[in-house]
Amino acid sequence: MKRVFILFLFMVVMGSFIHAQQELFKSLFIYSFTNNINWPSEFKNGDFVITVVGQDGIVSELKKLAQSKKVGPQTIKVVQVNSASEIGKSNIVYVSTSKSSTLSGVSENLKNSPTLVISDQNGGCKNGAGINFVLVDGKMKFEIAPQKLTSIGLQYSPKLTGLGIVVE
Amino acid sequence: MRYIIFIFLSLFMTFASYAQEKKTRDFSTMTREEVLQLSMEEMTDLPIEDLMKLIEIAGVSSIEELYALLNKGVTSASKNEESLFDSPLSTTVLNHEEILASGATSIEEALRLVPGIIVREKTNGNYDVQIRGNQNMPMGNMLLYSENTTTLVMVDGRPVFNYGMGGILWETLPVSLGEIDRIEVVRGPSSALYGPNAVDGVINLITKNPTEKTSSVNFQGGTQNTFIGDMSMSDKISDKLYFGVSTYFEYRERNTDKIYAFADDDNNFDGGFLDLETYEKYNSDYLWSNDVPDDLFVNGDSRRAKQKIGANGYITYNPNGNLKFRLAGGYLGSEANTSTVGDNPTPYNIRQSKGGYTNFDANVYGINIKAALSDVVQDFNRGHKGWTQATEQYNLSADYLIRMGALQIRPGISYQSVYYDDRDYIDSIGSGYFNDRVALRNYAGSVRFDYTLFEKIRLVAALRAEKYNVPDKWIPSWQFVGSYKLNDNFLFRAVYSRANQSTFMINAFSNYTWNRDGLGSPEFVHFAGNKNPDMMTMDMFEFGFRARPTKAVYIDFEAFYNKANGFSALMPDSMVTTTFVGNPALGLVNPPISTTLYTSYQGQDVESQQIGASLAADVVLGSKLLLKAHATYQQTVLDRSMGVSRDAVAQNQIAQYYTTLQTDMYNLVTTGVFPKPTYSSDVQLPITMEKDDVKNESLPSFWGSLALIYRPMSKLEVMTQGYYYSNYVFNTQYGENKMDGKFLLNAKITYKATDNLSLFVNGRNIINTETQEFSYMDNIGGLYLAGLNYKF
Repeated sequence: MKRVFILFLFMVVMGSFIHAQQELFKSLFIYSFTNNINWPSEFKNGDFVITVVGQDGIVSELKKLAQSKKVGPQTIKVVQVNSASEIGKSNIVYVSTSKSSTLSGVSENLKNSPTLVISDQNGGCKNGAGINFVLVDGKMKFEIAPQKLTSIGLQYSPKLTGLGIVVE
Repeated sequence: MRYIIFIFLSLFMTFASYAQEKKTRDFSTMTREEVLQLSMEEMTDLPIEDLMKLIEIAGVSSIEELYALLNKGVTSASKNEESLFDSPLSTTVLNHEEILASGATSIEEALRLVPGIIVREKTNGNYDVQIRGNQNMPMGNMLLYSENTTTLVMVDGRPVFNYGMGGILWETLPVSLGEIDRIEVVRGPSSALYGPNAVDGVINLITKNPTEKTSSVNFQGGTQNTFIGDMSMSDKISDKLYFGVSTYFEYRERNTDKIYAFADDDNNFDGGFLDLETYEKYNSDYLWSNDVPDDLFVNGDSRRAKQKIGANGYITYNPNGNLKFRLAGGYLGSEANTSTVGDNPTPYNIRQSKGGYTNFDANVYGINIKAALSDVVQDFNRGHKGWTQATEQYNLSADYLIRMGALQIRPGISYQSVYYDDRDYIDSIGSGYFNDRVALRNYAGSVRFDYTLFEKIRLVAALRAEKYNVPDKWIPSWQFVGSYKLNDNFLFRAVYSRANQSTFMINAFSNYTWNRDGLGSPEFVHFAGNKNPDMMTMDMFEFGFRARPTKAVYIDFEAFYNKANGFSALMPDSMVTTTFVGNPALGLVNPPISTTLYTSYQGQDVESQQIGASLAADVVLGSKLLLKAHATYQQTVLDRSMGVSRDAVAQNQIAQYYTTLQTDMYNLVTTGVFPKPTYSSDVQLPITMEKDDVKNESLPSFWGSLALIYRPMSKLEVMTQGYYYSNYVFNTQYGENKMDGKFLLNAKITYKATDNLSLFVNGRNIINTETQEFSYMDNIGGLYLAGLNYKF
């Protein structure tokens, strides 16, 4: 019994450390969104800030990406915070799965700011996110709420609504 | 110089051809391994459409797919999308992939994966499903009282409850497994959110709503002539308009054509399974009933367990972000050979149902509006006159979510009316069950407050006031929840809630006379409704704890205590006997003695108290293996339990009648005073017979499931599930029946032949422990199937 328990624990721990390629793909998606969304001029100065709410593997992937890429002339700055109240001026706020309960509060706080809120939870767009990652038949896709993007002053390429799952 | 020009031109041509190649590179031909070898640098330069192609080729790693099963969303617990981990109530979600992988052949069977739900099979494909229990109340009563009448089942938020006598007619649910996107289960009283009958909890079946072109075919067939299938297709007419249609069927047979007959002590029959011929003979010889068995099981169709065939369709129109509309409708014909709702010498009973529904959902500038109707003809007890009803149900509701920073307020209103009408299905008024078109109506106002403090503390208060036409009163229900999220990985929560049943048609409007001509006394039994019935009400306290210590582990624990009272039962009011007609000139005339037992739905003093706990764990054991386990323990104790059957009260009334008659006969001899022409005895059993601390063991004290999903390679998936429940004691008017616990082993092996086609073999109870799961019903053995899932 003890051996079974130890084996069980070992498998659980190993399972937790296997590399998650999804975080790489999500960070690539996010970078790609920056090429297909136009922020108002006041958000085109200084650093291009991506704030990640919660501890998430995407932070390290975004930081790697930020070392070699820029958004136009803007340097990408990745900030990790643990609560919605710590969010500063950001071009993008990514709400990690573990902080999904804060999503509606985050989007409410940012409803007058041209900040793209990206989530990774079921119904994310219904809770205020502009873009939400979803798994469909084992494939990563994204939902997009065009109305939301327009309402906060973000212009988007028709490519995004063509490729994403539109959530009205 | 010529060399320089040549080199320059060569470099230019090479660069140009490279650029051309890069520009026109066909990513769709790349293999998954090639994609995974690409560097971040290479992929960041790609346009989003190419990036999407690559990500699609790479797919999600097997472990990520398993992790996704530990990070589900739910809407039923708060009427709003939220993470399952953050749900303030005891909540479980089964998504389509899990249901498909499990091999469950029905919605009910899939619920064996949900903690706190116990599922026992009665006949092939027909089940008893309970959330935490509290059924078989009051004890010592008809089989009907074993039905789960305290769980509200909905399809896309539309109640599909049996308001005739309470409970769920599972075979009449107009949805197939293939159409279900997910099943959301909320345990504990939830009337404040969903209205009456959400007492032990809510099961919300949410169907798929694709917004792109999809088609699918699912089929499986196997032993006991079991065939189950569905087909669906959906398409997009424009970016704003979508539609879908589906059809489904199910046919199953039992492993015997014999039916059970209850014990008959007068004729030394101990009870047991009989072939139809013997049943018919005993029924006639022993005066069991004046039923015509051929009407019960036409052409010997006692072997058939279940059949259903139906079709659904929907159309979705989203003209803009502020307006969304969805119209759905369907038609279903069904039949189930399962436990009776009546009082027959056999517990077997064929139920038939035929009809349609329409469901309209709209979101208009944030206001959620629902309008639904169903129009179904149901024969609850084939072969017995008076049980066929034309049923209509109308639902209207609206609610609106107001967000005020950390506070969310959701006010709402709702209305429901249900009609039953038997007049078209009876020979004459008086021979039916209601002999009328009868209606139950209720409307309600509700409000739900949801406040989050410092992103850690969440306080929820939901209040609802419901006005009923029977009884004519307002009844409140509520839910108060506090949760504390220690960090992203640990959450504690506490719930206090109250919920109630509604009145059912038979409780309110019964007006039925059972003619027992030729079967002995009483010659007639009259069933009367009660316009001011008690409403069963439950109060619950619950403590819960969730943990996600690593990405690979999800633990959910809940401990609950509940107290329920306000139970009703069909019990004798009085017994009226016409005896002698006394005439001084003629002496005694002795007409045929005729006795009528008058019964009605009466409130019972009994109170039920239940304490229990459920533990569930989902664990990703490496990249290929997922473990899903749950276990529930509960104890139920009754206070002020009379625990006697209707017959015990009736016999007491007979005894009173005989005592009075004896006295009057003595007076006739001694004083010449003639006896009365009719006698009425209405004596009830003394309250001193009520007992405290009586165990209600109709539900096992323990049940649980251990399932493993193993994906050794991308094309192969193996699911095994062990399901166990402990002994229980079924206490009805037929006596106390001790039932053994049972262990079931299920397994399904799926081979993904192509991206579109999966082939599988599926075994339910593969060790073939052929024993009864539900009292008096079939010995349920193994079921072995093979089939396919195809989508394109």
